[in-house]
Amino acid sequence: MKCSECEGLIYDYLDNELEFEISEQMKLHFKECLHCNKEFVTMQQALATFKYEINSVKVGEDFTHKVMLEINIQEVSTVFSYAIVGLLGSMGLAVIIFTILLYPVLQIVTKYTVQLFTLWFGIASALSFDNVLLVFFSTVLLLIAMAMRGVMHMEEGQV
Amino acid sequence: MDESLREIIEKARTGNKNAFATLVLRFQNQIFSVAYGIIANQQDAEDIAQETFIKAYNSIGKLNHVEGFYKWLLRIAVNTSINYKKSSVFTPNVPIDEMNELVSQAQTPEEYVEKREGIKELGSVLAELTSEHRAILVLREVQGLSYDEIANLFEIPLGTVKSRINHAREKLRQGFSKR
Repeated sequence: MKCSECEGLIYDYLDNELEFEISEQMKLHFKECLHCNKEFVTMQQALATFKYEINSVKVGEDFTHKVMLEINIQEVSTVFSYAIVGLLGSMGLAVIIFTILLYPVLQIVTKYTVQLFTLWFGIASALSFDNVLLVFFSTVLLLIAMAMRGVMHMEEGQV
Repeated sequence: MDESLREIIEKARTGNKNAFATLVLRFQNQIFSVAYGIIANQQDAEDIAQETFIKAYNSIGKLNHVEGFYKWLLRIAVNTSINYKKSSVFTPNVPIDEMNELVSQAQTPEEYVEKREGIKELGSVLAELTSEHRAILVLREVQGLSYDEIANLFEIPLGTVKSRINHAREKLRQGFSKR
């Protein structure tokens, strides 16, 4: 057998995939040819070292525990995210139903709100800046006074 | 496949966590070695092994044949490793402190040095190979899978498997002969 033939078949020989006769010729060639023999031995050693070095490193002792802990955490977070989605979905649905049922009331409220703001902007545009401030703070003070009056009435009622 | 393993896999398929933990314990080092062979970094390989088992837990109900459990697990590990390596998370070089951790399992100082050098050389040889080449090399040389099994696992022709493994072996031999 020639060296070139041997080189071409070296991997099949390693895998025991050659016919008996060819395999025997390879063995004979390795005995006779120092170069091919060296190549073959180097290949065997390289593969053995690779296998040894890969297998010599193991996972940590708590690996199984870590995996199961991560699975539990993921399950809890999945349940939590489903709950959040369900809650937000329910709230959205409630807003839609509320809007449909109270549509006539909302229409009236919107109408009067727009009118109130229109009136306020009308007054504000007609007055000077100082007077706008005066009207604004007077309104705020009036509202505070009304609120305090309500509270005092409530306290009297309780007494 | 022995009967007890089949029973454990069946239990795990129904969502039994203790059964799944038994499977993790049983296959953790095989799956880790596949990831380590492809990535050549202990910490990343451990993360990949963990991710592999989590993916397996989430989809074990879809596993059709109990007999194919290990191959199915290997496929997840290989795909996860290859995707991880392509992602930006992957750090190509083995940090020194991690290497110290790797070689801490050595019993004597000589063994320590030998192991340290071995890991360094293995890393540099593997760095010249693509993930697919490394994966095939590990499955063949470490896991002992046949060419047919590897071809089925990757869904590639048998000839491609053979050429890839021979290319990887040649690189490994060249790297080894430089020692």
